[in-house]
Amino acid sequence: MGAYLVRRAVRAVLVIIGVSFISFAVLFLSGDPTDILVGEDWTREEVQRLRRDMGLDRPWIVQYARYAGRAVRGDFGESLRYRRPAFDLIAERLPATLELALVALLLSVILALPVGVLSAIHRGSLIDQGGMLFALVGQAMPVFWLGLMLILIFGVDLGWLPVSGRGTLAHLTLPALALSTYSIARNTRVIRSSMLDVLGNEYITTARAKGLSEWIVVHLHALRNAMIPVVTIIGLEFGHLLGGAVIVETIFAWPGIGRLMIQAVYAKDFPLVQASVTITALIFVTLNFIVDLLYSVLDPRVRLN
Amino acid sequence: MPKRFLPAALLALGAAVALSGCGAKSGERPLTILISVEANTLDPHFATSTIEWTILMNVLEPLVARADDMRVTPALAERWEVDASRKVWTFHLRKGVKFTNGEPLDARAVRYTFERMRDKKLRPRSTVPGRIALDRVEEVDAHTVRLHTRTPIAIVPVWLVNAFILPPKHYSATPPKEVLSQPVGTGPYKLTEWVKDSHIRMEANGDWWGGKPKIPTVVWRPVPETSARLAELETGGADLITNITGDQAKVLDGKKPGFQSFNVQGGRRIYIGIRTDWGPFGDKRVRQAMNHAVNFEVVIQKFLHGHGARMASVVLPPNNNPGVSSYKFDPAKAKALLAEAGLKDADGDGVLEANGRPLRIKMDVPVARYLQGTELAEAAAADLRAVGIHVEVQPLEWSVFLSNRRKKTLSPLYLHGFSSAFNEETDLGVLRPSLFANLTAWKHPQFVASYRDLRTAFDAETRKKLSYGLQALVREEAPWIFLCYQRDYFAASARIAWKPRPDERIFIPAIQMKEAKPVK
Repeated sequence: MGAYLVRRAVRAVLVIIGVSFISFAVLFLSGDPTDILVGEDWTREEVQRLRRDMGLDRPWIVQYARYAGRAVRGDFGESLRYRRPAFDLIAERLPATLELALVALLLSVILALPVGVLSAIHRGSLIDQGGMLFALVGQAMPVFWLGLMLILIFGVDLGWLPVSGRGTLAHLTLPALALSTYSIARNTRVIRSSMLDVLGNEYITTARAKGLSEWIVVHLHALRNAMIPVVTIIGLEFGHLLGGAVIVETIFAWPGIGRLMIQAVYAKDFPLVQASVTITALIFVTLNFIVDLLYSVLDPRVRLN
Repeated sequence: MPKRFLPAALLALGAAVALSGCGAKSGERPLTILISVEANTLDPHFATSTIEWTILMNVLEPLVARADDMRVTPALAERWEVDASRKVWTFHLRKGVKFTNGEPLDARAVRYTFERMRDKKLRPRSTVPGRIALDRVEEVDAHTVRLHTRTPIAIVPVWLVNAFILPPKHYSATPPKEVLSQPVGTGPYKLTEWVKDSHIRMEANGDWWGGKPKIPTVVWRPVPETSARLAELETGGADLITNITGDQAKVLDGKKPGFQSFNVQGGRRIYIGIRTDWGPFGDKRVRQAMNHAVNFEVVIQKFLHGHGARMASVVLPPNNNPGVSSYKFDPAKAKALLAEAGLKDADGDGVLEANGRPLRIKMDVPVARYLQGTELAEAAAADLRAVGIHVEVQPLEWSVFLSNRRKKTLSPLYLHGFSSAFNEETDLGVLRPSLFANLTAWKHPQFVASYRDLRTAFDAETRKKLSYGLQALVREEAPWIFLCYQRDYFAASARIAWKPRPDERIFIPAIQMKEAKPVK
């Protein structure tokens, strides 16, 4: 178990270093933050002076080394546009994104679990077909389109819910729904097929043969085992929801890190992009790590392998 | 199970709907303005974007402001004069004015402000001290202050429009990282709350020297998605929204009672830059021909909703030379000029050749940057192809466009827009060879000489003569294919009355609230 943990931890660190390196390189190749900062009435000389002041005239590998050296000590540098520590900017907005992603995850589990289980139990029935149709449509709808449709239907036409911003529970409803739809659809399918797998096992037949009620067979015997792959999916799902929040936050003017990141990319705000990508990667990798641990607890075969 | 689940879901939705109604006090609803981008900083010495200047101009005030018609007008300085050396500007401050934190507006505050702009430790991004060649600031008495410049600069007041005067105690006692979100000034409003990416709240400054503002509370919310801004307006969540398109304004005007749209000729000059260092573009006849080839009337009707007219030269009204008229669409003349310049279609493929090489070029256009930018570029390219210059439009992401602009690697033709400071000198200045964003490589000795004279001409008549001459020269030399001034569109609820300014800024005291019911 110890060796397994160490191996996973080393891998996690390598992933984070890789992510930060790649995002730095890509960003660097795509432009220069001074392009956004300079005024159109600046002379060539003034532009050159700003680049020098910001250390942008040095080779990018030198700049990366400087960044990485500070980042390991928790200093992600200062945002070029906001002139405040990048970490603070992210910390200010992280609660909004976590709130959105957690509610979306909750919605996803609450809705996907009953639909997935029912579809599996009543395989081929109308419930199953309806559930799978929903899953297909849910996965096929692009989130930006869905978001705009939700705004038009529930915000403009029906006038039930506020269309943008953060505040009350009502403000949370539409963005959470938009963000979770894909995840609900996907989880419904995963739960259904996992449940079908388990229901085909011999011990289920044995349980039924013992004369146990179908309710006990499904809920106590099948569901627990069917949950093992679902736990993995849900853990990773959270990471995906954090990523998906980038689009949803922009459509619904939700003040989270997704929007911050988009703006930072457009503005070539290197330190801020670096910090947000690295922190998002850190969350993702940590979740993955926890899921791995959970998995090995749930299923002893994993750690023996 | 579904039977048990469905009521629960409906209950949750019901609760959410019920909650949305809470908190909205009836009666004094604040004026809510939706903007498309978030302010990064509200420290005026680091501000760069229009939205930042817009927020700031309601909280802070300069010595000299820009009136609704874009002419400079007294603000914190009641009057000013320049001495015989033309390097000493004396400003007479308005008396009895206080910052909202209680500090008095005096010469000390003005000196502090200008010194902070060039504080070596703070390293601000303000361009004001450089633009006015600031030497030192002298406090004459409590309400008189002198700006000494190193060289004579005629348009010092124009550059002071964004030089907001700050209370020294507040700005020196608050750490820079905190002060950027706590602007304090003498303006009509006080900033009371800024939740990043969510909203900015302002309350009226009852002691404002201009009289207590009529609208007590204003909320600014950044909503990046245009459809979401329109949806908020339609559902009553906003009173005024910025940055919509002409099409959206038309839809709103056509069928939605209770709403209105506004549009104004903005300060951004949209043009197609001609790189005169490329092939035959060094010949002014070719550049004139390209101007005659473009049928701008069609563009106005098709893409610009019939609004506006073709730009004649580079200077915006009211400083433009009325004697300079815009290029007329005349493909025959365009062809004649091209032939005169020695361009022929020897192989008969419909594309002209210069020195045996066909004129096949690209026109770079930044995507989603300028209103209908891609459409304007496509229309112009089609017109150019019709006279034998094969132009292909190349859309570029804005950051790529910027990067190529800095590295001088844009195509021989590029669609671009310069904003304006609403003055003839700054308007003409976009064609200075030293300007990094000017890729035309157009260096006309007469332009360089006259422009130098203009910078040091203090007499209005001389300035007018020089500026008019320069405008005519630019039109004749045609380093650009002249297009138009970009229009800015806004939408609003019927409960406000307002007239937008050409500089995209929103000054709250200029907005009237109609207390009566919406029209119709």
